[in-house]
Amino acid sequence: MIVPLVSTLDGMDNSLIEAGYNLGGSRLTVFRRIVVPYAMPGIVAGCIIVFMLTAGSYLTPILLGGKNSMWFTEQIYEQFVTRYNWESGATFGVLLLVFTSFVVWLGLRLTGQNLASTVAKD
Amino acid sequence: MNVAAPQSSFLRWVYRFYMLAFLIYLAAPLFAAGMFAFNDSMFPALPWNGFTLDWFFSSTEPKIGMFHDRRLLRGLQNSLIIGVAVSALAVAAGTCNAFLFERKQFPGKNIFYIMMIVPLVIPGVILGISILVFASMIANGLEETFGIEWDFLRPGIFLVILGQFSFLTTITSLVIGARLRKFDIALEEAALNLGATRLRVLMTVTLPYLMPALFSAFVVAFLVSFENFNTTLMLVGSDAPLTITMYDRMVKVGSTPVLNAVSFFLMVGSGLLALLSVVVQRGDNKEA
Repeated sequence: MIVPLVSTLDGMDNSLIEAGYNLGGSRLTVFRRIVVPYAMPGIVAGCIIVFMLTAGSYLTPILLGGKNSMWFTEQIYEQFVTRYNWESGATFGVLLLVFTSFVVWLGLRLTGQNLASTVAKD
Repeated sequence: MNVAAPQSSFLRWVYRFYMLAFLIYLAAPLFAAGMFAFNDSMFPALPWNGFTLDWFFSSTEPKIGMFHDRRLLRGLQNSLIIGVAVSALAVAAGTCNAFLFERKQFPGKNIFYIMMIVPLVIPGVILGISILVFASMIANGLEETFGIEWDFLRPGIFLVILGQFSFLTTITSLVIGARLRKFDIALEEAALNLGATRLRVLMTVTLPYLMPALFSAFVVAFLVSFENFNTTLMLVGSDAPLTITMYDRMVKVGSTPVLNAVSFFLMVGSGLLALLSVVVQRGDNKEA
């Protein structure tokens, strides 16, 4: 989350914030109305990356999840390897892929970004 | 910090405290894991029984140290082999991708660019299972129709390399492409004007300029491949990389502090690699 935000906020001009304070804004107003809209692409990129990494993570939920966690990627692994039910595992995989792709597309569409500029920020 | 903003000293202390708490949150588990590698007990837990290097070097049961544990060493060797192979392949393919997307225009370029980026966005487990199903489909088809047994299409090192190659190429393409974008094409044109062949121009003008990016892309690809778990787990056969071996040891057999010793070793190793990469970058910045 930090990396996209830092690269976006780095390009922000200090004079924008100075102007906000000059026109009489409080700290909260300046933050809410100047900084956040400027940084919105970075926020969206960060959210998308965090979402993809979390939805697709396998190791951390297994190690830290305890006995009651039923993480979806754990189910995929179980169907593939433990039960050798590749059809079911593939179905779960497609479901996970479609769901995460839909959420990413929705997030990108709602904030007006496109995939290439979000992930490939340099 | 923005110097124009009115700073109350209370908020400044809140900021410092927050940064400190965040860094402690990140560093404390690593520190604890490394510390228990030197603990003279059978479990990676307190109480502290005394300082020992047994978990690194001892060779007697039941405390087999890291450098005598056959399976862990085999896992480390597999990880190194896979890492170097995948990084070399990814840097080669990434360089070609960088030249393609920076220098050429062709129909469908945007679609191919998005296809290149997609492996970073897909969950690693999905990448792994898709490559597994595809390779198994080919292998089964070949076996049933022609009777050929292509063992390398079954879960094993080749499939692991293929799986990691898919998303590491994206990373290396982005890193090398960013560096290539800053290259002044007039230098190439000058060399061509002076009569060099295209190959010579590539070897003597463009590639030396790209060398820092190639090196740092190699290091990044190696580190990402070394620690990758999700994709590798689906594709691994009997030669497991180090992460899978440690996971097997931890979940199925029960962990001894030898895993903490391995963690400490890996932390130091990747720290040194990252330091080396930074030093190389700084050397290049000084001369540029």
